[in-house]
Amino acid sequence: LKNKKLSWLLIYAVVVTLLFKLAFFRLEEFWHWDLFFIISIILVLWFGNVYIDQQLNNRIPWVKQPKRRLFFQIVYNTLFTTITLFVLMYIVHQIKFGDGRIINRKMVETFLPALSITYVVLAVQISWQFFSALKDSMLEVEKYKTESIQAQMQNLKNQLNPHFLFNNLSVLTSLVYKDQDKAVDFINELSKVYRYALDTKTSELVTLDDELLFLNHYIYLLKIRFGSSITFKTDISERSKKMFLPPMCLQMLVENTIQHNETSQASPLLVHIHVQGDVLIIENRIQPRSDNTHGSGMGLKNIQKRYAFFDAKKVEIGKENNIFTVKLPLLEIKDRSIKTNFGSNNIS
Amino acid sequence: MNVIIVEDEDLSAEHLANLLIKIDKSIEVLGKFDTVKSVKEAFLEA
Repeated sequence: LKNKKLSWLLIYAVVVTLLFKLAFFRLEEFWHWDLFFIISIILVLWFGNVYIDQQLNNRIPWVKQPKRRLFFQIVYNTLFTTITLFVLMYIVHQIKFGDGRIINRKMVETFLPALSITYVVLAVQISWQFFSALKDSMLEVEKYKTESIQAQMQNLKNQLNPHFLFNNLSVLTSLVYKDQDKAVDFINELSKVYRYALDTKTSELVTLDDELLFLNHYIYLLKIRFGSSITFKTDISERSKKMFLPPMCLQMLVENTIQHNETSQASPLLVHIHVQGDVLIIENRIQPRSDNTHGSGMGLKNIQKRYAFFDAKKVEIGKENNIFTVKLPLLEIKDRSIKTNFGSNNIS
Repeated sequence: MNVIIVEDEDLSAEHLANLLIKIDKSIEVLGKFDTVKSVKEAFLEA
């Protein structure tokens, strides 16, 4: 690839030199040895200006300070091109004529066109950079879109987790015989869980308040299933409840906790949900199940990807002193285009 | 056939016991445990 680029550069230098010679030199002077010297001048100007451009890309990127960048780009490229052209043209002239004159007619004639050509080439080079950057950013946006769709798909799959439904129906079968009133309540709560999953299917963010209301329905089902083997403790301020997070995150984390930990009469599982600053913390003591099948980690990855989509602070996952902790940053909405369930609090 | 059910959800264990008895009336559910550890302990005690 590098060789190909160099070949194209050489072709460009030869073409420009031939055009230059055609325009500013007599025909009998056309195939003169200075042809090679002019090619070299063009190459020196090219590499020098590209080097300046690269340095400026690192120090004054176009995206951050466009006006400042334009000013310095013009100043540095003009200075470099002027000095280099003058010195090299002077050397060529002295090799040819050796008259010691600092400025001669040919230099005056060719200087401005040479500078103009440099500007045109630089403009093309910078435009190409912009085009490449635009292409990259479009690819990046597409990548995020794809990841978001994948996350939404995963979310949907998790929402309609057949295992979850199977477990609940299995419990319901026994409950119907044992306690019919409780069975009715169970069905109601199960329907609310599914209704929330469907209602928030297209929402990108939901209020913590709604997420907690939903979690209460989910917890009701879990308490029927696991009894006193599982306990939840929530400690959340009213201010935090007005903040936002991607839907179903809490449920996914609670499900994750049950999936990986033992819930028994002998070792009840305690899930503590609280807020520190603007961070929602979900933690539980690690008590691995004896039949622990290591999960794919898709649930946690899904949550991390959904947060990455909002360019928010990262989700933190940690294990310390036998406590598993997930920290979810609570978000404030600044972007009006984000879909929320705000004002459509329709689960009770 | 004697059966021991290991299931951390009481109602699911009950449901499973009913299903087993429906399939084969000779099945006798000896006990229900919520963890593998509690089964091991019960066996060792017995």
